[in-house]
Amino acid sequence: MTIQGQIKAYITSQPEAKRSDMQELHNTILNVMPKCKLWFLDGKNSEGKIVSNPNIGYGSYTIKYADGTTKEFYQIGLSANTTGISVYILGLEDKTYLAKTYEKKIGKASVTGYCIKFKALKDINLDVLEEAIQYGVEVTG
Amino acid sequence: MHEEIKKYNDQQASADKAICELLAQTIDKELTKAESKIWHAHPVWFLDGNPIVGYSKQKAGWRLMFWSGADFEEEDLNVRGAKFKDASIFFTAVDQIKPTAMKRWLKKSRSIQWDYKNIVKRKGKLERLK
Repeated sequence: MTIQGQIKAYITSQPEAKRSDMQELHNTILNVMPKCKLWFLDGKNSEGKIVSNPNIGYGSYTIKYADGTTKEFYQIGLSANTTGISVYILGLEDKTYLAKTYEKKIGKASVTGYCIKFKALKDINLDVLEEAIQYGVEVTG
Repeated sequence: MHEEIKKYNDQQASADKAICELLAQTIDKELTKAESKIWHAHPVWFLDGNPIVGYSKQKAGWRLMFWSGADFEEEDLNVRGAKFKDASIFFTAVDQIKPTAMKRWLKKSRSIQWDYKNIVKRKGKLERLK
């Protein structure tokens, strides 16, 4: 199955309320990052059993490790979990930036150094989330 | 026992239910500080948000899976994942579950953990937590 097909199947497999939220977030991220590289981590072990929450990834950046090796990974991640939805903004050097900039104005969400987690889309300000995604993409792009 | 897990166990046929109940009770008794819930359709126990142990029904029987079991050095946990650090054992009858061994595995599951919780933060790389 293509990555687009896996993403579509993943979104479709969500229960109704989460499905429409995930679809809207997927569209929102693609608006910010049109034509970006798409990723899908299925979180399955070698026998097909899920061991970590599946993730949709958007964009690409290169991580440079201290030993000189590099790794390509996505800039923005999206995942549904039992308590809600997580949006990951990866590669930020300032681990306090997300919380101090967006926590107060984003609505009912928990904001850590790299993750914005909320129960449902209705609980947050989507414009603020879009702004945070835009920031992450610009900084790591 | 967590209400959702009790409900999950109650929905199984009687022989299966006995396996599920013994597994859940033994896990609850040993991992007293764990959070448990139905995760991706199966009962799973978490410590500080990190998945530790769970069970699910598969063709070969009831699979008891330890997320970091590959490092427990337990020969009975011999169904190993190649991609992650999971290790499992299958049960098809309740008398196959050995409480002493299970207690030992559960003790190890507290002290040996790979960091599944932060797998995205680590850019898809699984790192040893404990």
